[in-house]
Amino acid sequence: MISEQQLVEATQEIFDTMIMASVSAHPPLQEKITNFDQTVSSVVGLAGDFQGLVGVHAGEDVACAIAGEFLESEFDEVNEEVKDALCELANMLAGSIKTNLTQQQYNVQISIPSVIHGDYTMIIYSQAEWLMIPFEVDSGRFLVEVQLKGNGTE
Amino acid sequence: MGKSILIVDDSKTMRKIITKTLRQTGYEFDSITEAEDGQQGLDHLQKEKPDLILCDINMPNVDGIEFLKQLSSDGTLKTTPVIMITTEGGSDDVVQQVNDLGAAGTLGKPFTADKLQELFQRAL
Repeated sequence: MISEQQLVEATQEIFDTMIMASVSAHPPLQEKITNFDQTVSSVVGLAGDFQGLVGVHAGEDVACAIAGEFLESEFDEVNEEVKDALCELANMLAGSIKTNLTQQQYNVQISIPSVIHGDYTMIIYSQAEWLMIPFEVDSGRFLVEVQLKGNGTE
Repeated sequence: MGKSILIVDDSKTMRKIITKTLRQTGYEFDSITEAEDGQQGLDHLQKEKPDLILCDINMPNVDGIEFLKQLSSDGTLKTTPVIMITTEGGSDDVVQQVNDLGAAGTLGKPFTADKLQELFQRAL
């Protein structure tokens, strides 16, 4: 449905065209991370032929750095602008994934992005197929995650 | 004379990026006004008619499709060119829907400055 290469290319395209910063991908994680500390997670829900989500998880420093690159500004702490920038990143990734699934003849809708900040455990679709890829930017690593669970029509 | 632009997008990040990109096109602008959703955009249009509107599709409250529907049914505003912005640039049904409602173009995210400039020039 969504391959490692598709997720890497979608992420790199956003960084190339909108953030103007280089990003490199590491191999996908073998074990899913669900506990996050001092992290900003932006999440977009998927519905239709699949339930699922697209998530971006970045430590506070990396989240501030990504938002700074996005907005050509500097952020010392996570504020609404930092959260909004991470939401926009997840939103564009979700759009790319929706487009990809639509081209495979699946019907998928995406939600408005939401954001979580702090220390938390995130388990949303325990039965879903998942892909979690670490990406490296100058300020450190962040994770891009896709979870997809078919509803029986796919 | 400079152009007046209305940007309708719930993301402050996108509004800033679009504003920055517009200023790189070489056009002069009298005003670039921002609205956080379709309702704010419609409220602004009661006071001022811009030369061009850039509007996100996926927004809370009044979304881009509803915004475009209301605009296209307003005799004084329906001729204002609207470029719709979407994360679903490759989705034919979305493009078809906004075209049917009279959009001047669709800008898929992520986008390059060149792509925005091309649509901007075509719409004006």
